[in-house]
Amino acid sequence: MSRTKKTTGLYWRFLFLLLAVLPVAGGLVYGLANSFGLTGVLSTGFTLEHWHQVLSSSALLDSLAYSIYIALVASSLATVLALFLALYFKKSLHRGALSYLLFLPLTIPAMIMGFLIFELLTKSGLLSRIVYQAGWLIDLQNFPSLVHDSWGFGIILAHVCMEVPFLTLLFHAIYQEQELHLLKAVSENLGAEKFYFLRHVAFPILLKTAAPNLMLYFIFILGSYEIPLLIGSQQHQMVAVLAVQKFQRFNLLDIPQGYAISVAFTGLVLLLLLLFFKNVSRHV
Amino acid sequence: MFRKILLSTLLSAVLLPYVFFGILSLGQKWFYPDILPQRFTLDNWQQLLVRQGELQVGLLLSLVLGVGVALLSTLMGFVVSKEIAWAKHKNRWLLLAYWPFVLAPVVLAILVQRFFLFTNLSGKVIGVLLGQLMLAFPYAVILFQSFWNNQVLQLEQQSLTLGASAGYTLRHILLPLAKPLLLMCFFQTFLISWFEYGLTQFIGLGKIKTLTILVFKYVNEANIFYAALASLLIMVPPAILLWFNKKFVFKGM
Repeated sequence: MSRTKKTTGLYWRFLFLLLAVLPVAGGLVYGLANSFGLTGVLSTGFTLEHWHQVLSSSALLDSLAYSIYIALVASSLATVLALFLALYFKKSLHRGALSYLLFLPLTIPAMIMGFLIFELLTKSGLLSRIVYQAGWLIDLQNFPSLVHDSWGFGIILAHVCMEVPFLTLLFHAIYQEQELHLLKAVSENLGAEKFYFLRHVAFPILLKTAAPNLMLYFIFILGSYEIPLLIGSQQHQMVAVLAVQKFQRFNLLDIPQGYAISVAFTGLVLLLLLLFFKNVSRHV
Repeated sequence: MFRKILLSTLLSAVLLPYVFFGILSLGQKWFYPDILPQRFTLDNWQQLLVRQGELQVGLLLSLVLGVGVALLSTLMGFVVSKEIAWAKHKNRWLLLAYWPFVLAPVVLAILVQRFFLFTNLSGKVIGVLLGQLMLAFPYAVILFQSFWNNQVLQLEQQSLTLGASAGYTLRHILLPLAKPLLLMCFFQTFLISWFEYGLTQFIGLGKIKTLTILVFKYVNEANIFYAALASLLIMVPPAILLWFNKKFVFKGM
């Protein structure tokens, strides 16, 4: 390799480090330093005070638990629905209107999905109007709170709506790639019932192959911001919303806490990924 | 029968956002309990034609950022991914490329915001472009890894051995081979920028009003008709693109 080529290669790698790695690593180091009182406007030297406040107020733990609950429920529901659709509409997904139309929801970003669910499910939303016009609702106030509710119904629904098309297409692609129709024919020839094939062959293969994507989607929901910001409850906040709120308060002492929450969340996600991939590589 | 009902429900659910936002974008006054707006007008859409109007500027900004981010990340991703594909510690470099995706975009925005303030890039289009590149560029690097296989390397080396210059090899061998992946990368990185909210909001300090920022602003102002219009402007272009070539654009996503 010539010297010039080697130098050019170094420049490109430097560019990669500069644009993709340094900002993230630097941001994390700065966030950590700020949360320990080492930098920032009101820094007074190393202190564990901000971490102590974050952990003792239970706000972080509550919001982490709430985020995990939302991510778990939304991911599980979406996975079950997508499995059903991918297996039930195998032919329609291969060719036909569904094979085109199921790609359309992928063009809806989180912000717009949140807005859509809000306009559909709020007390004065489209669903409430339809129910009222049908004569099933006497007073607007009697319509159940489906958004801004403590159970996170709206948030879960929005994420399910975003995730189901993606997972359905993913499961369908895996079904084709792994040629599960051949395995199905073999299992039928050997006398297995349809449900036996699904339970012992199709589900394990589809779920195992899609596991990394399912994990990444779980993490995506865990850190979601736009949807809970628009239709989340005031009582329970997801982690990203809590962190941002700390930054947007007038009290400057809240900022190190915002950094502490961001760093803690990053640590949790890394831990989850580490455990997941350790587990996956053990089984490969 | 059950299958037909389920299929119709599914198709209606998929089309609902487009129809619903389409109706709202043409509406004015939507009082409870009417299912449709009281008045239909093209006034909201005409805002797009107003010179320097907020929606027009937002659309242009989103387009400029989207094309800029897609162009830069595709070009740089193509070159850098080759360096990484043949690097001694390929996996370590790749792990670094996945790094920005571990964090939620808004958490990433919080962590890097300080640097953009220090360098005076906050609140500027170039700052938002660099911020979005932090996501799109590593994505491109990861996407192009599948391209740099042994076959491509052998073709490149054969061309060089036969006396072709590096430029000739790039133009006549590598780029034609990579064309489908280059276009796919361009579209997907364009969409990363087109859909982005967290980084744009925090690095742009609310001054860089792309379409996603405008949707949130209109929702906050309870201006649902403009919010619906801005939502359509975000959703429709990728949907059209998809309609023409679904496998091409979303392959590998």
